[in-house]
Amino acid sequence: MKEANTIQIPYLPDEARVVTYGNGFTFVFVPKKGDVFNISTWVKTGSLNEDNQINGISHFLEHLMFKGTERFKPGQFDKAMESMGAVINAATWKDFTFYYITGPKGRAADGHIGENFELALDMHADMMLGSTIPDEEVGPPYDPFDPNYKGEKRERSVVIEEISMREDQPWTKIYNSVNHMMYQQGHPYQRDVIGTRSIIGNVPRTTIYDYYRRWYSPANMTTIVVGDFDFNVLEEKICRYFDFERFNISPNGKGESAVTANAFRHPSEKRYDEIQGDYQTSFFIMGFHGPEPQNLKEAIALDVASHVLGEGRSSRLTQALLERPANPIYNYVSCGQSTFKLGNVFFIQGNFNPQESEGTAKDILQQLEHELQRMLTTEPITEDEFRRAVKKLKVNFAETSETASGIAETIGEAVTVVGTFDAYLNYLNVLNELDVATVNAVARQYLSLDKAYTSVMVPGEGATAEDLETDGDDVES
Amino acid sequence: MLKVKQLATEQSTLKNGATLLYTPISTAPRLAFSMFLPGGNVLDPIPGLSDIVDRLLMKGTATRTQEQISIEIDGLTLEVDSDTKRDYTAIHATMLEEDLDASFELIADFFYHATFSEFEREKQKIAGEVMMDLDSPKSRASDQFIRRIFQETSYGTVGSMILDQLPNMDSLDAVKSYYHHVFTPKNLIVSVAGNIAVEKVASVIERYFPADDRQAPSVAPELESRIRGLSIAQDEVVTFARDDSSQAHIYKGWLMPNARHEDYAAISLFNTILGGAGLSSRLFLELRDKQGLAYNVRSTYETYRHKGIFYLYIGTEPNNKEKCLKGFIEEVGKLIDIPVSDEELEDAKRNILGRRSVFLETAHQQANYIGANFTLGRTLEEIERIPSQIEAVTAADIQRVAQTYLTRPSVVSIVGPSKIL
Repeated sequence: MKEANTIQIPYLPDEARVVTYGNGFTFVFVPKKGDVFNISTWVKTGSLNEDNQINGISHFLEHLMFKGTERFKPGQFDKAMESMGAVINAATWKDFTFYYITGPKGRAADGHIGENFELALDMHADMMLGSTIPDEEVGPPYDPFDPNYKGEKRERSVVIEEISMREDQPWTKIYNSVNHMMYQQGHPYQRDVIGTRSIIGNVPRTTIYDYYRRWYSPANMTTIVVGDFDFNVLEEKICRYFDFERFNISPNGKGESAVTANAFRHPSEKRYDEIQGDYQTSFFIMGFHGPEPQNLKEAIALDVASHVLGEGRSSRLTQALLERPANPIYNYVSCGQSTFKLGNVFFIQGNFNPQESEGTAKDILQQLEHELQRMLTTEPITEDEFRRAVKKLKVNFAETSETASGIAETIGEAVTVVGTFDAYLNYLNVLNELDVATVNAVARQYLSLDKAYTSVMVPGEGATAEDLETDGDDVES
Repeated sequence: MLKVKQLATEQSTLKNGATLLYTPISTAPRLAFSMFLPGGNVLDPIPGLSDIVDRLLMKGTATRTQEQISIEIDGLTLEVDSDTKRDYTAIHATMLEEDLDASFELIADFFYHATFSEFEREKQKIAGEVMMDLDSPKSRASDQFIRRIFQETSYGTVGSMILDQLPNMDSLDAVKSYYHHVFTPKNLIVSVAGNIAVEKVASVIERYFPADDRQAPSVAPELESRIRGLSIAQDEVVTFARDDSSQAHIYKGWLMPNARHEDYAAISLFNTILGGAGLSSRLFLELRDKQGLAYNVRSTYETYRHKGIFYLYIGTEPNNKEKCLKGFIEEVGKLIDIPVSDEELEDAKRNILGRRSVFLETAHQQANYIGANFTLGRTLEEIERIPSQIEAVTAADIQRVAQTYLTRPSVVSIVGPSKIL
């Protein structure tokens, strides 16, 4: 019925346990000494499983999951957790939705799991399996562009405010722009995770509830507990509270999304776009399609290249664009790889001050492109650079093991997005086996300038919220 | 009485005059140092000068170029950064013990021998970074709020003030003078947490920061009393137009007493109840859950050595501006007029005390928490006593401090489309 394994987590003294139950639900326990526990449940759904009619529903559902169950009324979970000093929240992205509680363990008698923790586990499981999504919490549908609407505004309006908030964040705005450019029409990653005002204002409650029941199936869920507990006592509690049958949740749920990378091609040509905003400085992101996340060797090699290119103090871009010029035009530059189920993405992001240069945005970006090109051709990554980057990546990896939430998030992302514990457990082994030649080859393969998608936000007239929404609709129709 | 984890910190004075705060944590893989140098913006002859000094520390010494320093740091397990706040400049460093000596050789080099040769370039860089930050409407609203509530004193140094003052910062002598006065062993508070013997830390600090004749700087009494005496004479509203802004970003706040003041615990509790706890706070329930006015609404209480601030923030659809300001007034009014319930008070106490464990999980968090509190003037005993002070607060105390401080004039800062300003 169930399958149990032990795994050795890097930098932690005790072995972790992984239990997969007959219905497909996975439970992971990571023993960690200390006063803090973390409970999280990762669901294998996100905007990946949406279409143009329900774009934003995964994230809207995440908000509504906090609105009560048969046993607990809306707000009761928040109050109970925060009155013990726990930090609670959730996040939705393209491939995943996850919910977490980080709290103080409090006192526990021998052989007992502790009141704080037990209440947290009970309420968390009840919320994951039995959220009722009450109509009155969703609020009546309304036209978000009608300035005269005077009716009730509930959670729909909160999410619409979140959309507005994100529009006021320059980095989010430029990310959405480059993200849109990187995928072909119809690709599930092309849409913004948060959706549009029109959809959030109007999507029926039943559509949301059906989506919840479809995707929050046992096989799509992984619950991770990190803390100082006895495994046997804990596992008994997990079985009691994650009782899917009690909620009539069939083990034969939908399972994983049928969306696969092979179904889509990426636009193949280099692309460049400028948008205007009411800014003094220029924000840009340059994106490149990276390796499949399961290809650990290439993914980790790209992490090393990223460090050399733009992450460390001594990195190429930091030195060339920020530290060496007598008159620095760039204010900020960094880079990094994002892990996605349908293919990783490598981003270089930065900000520059157009008043400091006679040139156009394109001219300014050429300085950056020149540095990147040098790394790919005449001056590849050296042994010294390689060694420093590997050391820093190991330190960063160790750092995530210092907190209960850091460990949980790394495991959660590995299992939910990459689909395997290996992405976490084997990271250091793969890193240790890399050589500089491999890193240079991987950098050349993925970071070539003729595969770059660049979006720049330059000072000019800004678009209003309504314009942005109309743009979005055009794209989606 | 709730059980609260006690800190295991020991305090000692080293041969060089530095103060060592040592917190052993046997399970921590890395050593965490937070090194505080009292001074910071309060000592600035020109607002922002100390920020420039701290940015230039790792940009060149008598024997190392900026690039050499960067390469050296990247070659160690060392992570190091510095920052400047109202009351101090701090250097934060984490490393594996194998790199302890190499790390401190480097840190001591820029502690004593920074050349500040990159002064002009760094001024241009800070200007660019500030402009980038102020391109976010929320940052702009926060910037003008802090600037106004501290009434343009260096205690309220923010990005826009630094931008204004950069043209006046033409003297490298002023930079070097700050460095000379503040970066002395006698002015050094080293807070360390990790798996290491206290003798070993003490010997490293004494070896790399040898005693010298310089005395620790102090804040002039008249400046200190001026900052402590700051008050808002009448309600003020400051605005900044951003026509492309999707939301109105609204801050409203009051000046508060300093970190060691007897009202600290009661103010902390009304902050938690009003908007500090998160999803279950009053502002969140009323303005977000019931009225759907915002995604982000909260309150914050910050304390410094000589003063504190308490403020509310909301990001809302611009036409809701008045509704939100009214909501702020109503929720603050309830705290002033009606005692909080026993249940709410107990929940808030448990929230504050429980969160301490969560936010003091790592060695770095502990080193920073203890060192920062000590630098703000609290003794170790006072830091230990914070939980019992929180415990002792009554509903009447909360109502009294709300009546004392929240009936005073406030500063409101709004950034949004011009039509609503």
